Amino acid sequence: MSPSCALSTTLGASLLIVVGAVVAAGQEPARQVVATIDGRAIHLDEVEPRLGLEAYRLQADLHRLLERGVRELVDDRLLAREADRRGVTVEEFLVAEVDAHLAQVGDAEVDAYLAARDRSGDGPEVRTRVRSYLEERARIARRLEVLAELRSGVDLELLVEPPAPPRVAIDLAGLPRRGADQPDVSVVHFAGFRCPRCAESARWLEALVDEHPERVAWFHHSALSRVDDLALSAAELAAEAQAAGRFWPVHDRLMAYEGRLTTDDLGLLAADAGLAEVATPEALAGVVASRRADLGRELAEAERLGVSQAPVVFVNGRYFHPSFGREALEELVADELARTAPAASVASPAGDGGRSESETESETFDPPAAAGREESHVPEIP
Amino acid sequence: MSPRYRSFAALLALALALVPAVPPVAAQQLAPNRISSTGDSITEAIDAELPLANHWASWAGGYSNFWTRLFGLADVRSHNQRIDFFINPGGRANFIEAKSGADSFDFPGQALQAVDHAAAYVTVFMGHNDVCQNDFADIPTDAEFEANMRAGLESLRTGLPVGATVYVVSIVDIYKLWELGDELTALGLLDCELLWSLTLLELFPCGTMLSPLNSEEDRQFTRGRNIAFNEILSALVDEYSQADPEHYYFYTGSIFDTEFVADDISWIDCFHPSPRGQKKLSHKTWNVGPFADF
Repeated sequence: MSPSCALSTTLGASLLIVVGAVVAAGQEPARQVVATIDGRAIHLDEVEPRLGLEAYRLQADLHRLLERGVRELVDDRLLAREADRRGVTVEEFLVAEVDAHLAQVGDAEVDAYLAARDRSGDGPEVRTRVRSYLEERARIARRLEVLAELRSGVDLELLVEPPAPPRVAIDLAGLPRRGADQPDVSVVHFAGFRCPRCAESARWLEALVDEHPERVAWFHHSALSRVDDLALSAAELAAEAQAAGRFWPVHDRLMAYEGRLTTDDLGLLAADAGLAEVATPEALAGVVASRRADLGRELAEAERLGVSQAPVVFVNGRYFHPSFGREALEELVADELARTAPAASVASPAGDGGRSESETESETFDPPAAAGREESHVPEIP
Repeated sequence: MSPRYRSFAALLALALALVPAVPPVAAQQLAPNRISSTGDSITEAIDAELPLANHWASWAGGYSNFWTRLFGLADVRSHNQRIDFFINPGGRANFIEAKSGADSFDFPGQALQAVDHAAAYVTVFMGHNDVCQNDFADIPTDAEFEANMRAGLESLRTGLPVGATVYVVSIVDIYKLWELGDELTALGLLDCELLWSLTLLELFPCGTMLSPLNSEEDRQFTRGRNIAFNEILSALVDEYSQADPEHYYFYTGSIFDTEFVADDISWIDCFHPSPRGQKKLSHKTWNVGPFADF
């Protein structure tokens, strides 16, 4: 077996193990070795951050399938056991316990259903559908009730744990930064300038950085659309601004459009920012055309990290989707602030001694490898 | 009638009765050079890669050309592309009759369009919007669904060129799509439930499965309709296959049984197939479909 094949086999096996593992309370899981180089171990928790969210998603899929399979098997066994206890088949048991308990759905119930939806005037075909729905729903409800009764009579414990969200490694080299020079919490905003939701999450981040100027840093990472030339032009204008040391003022003005940018706006912005070389649409288009080859690479990197649609935020490598709301983001940042004492030795992504935004960052946010698996950090749904 | 003539007629009737019945001769199957894909938003690849219709990413009629490659858009290896690659018949044409929001009531109209296009290969992936309604009262009965699908198949039977193929694909198990969205929400990857709450305002499809007000009983009821409609599709294809020697009819239930994973659904709407999902649809349906052996 080749080393790469051995690694993938071990990784595959480890995914299964993680999904099915029974985690004993208070017991620190041992670090799993997935390969060795001249006898020196490479651990799973060193590899996982490089996989972005891919492994997490696969683990989650496996977990879902496993959990569903377990539940179905449990139900089948409980039904068979109860039917056996009564000396009947499962079908006979269900007829006795489900079908025999169902009452006929009357006109009054159909009337009530339609009245509640302001559809009392609907024709007979709709009444037939509603009756069928109410009857079948009652049958399903009774069946679920029977299963719940069977489950309640046994000592049933589901030992399948959902996977823990990972911390992914993000290359921060060259990304414009705002806020703390040596942050405890690094927030990476994958965003574009033609996306209203990006403008909204940018406002949240601005408030966070203002609130914790010494501890939180905000990095901007372009999240581009394959076919949106205007978004690409805006990203290139921002890149030109970064090279000239004027990224954030241009960023803020671009975001202020809330996604409703035009080509003329870009020209105006470029002129205002003193970026005369890209102040005409033709000049900007030329820059964009020369950049198109890089686009695929950047998109692949974003997808590897789990960024399918902008905006996405990573807080110290922890994925956050703004659909969960501002409050959930604030909780996540607060959690990281609490976890990392000021000036703690947790891998500091910036640590650049106060360089200006125009200088190239060379660090990568690498989560502490030996920290073991994090507890579940699923953001709470607001 | 004279007695002599009556005897002759009786003899003739006896002779005809003794002659073994000649089975109708099956028509030669046409090469699938003109494909017409009927269906709904899934076949239109709504929200697969970019918001709204993404025809290049359709499992049936998807394509890859200079522009899609230039922009790095998905290549889902659709039936249309597989026909080019594996069969390469002359006179190629590709028609996507599917329309977002279409349900079985629209199938007869789409079937007529396929006839107008003289399709040699018609894919039918219809019924998701019958299962997916704003209200349970709007899910058609078995009889209504069957009548609609039969009307469309009848148009195909009478209008398609002799030797054309009709391939009916089972409705996806929509309950599994709900499970996936629920999983994405639970894992903190995307708040699908926020999107789905728009079903309450009828701004998002499939309230009968995705509405946050639904109970488990409601979702299982909807799944029951999903299963019943697939049984109707299967039975109709059996019936047409036996009764119509001039065309080829196929059905696959494999798509209902297909397990989708999180990357198979759109992150734009937590519901429609992503490019990976479309590719899986194409792969699964092609491999058990009428031209898999070509």
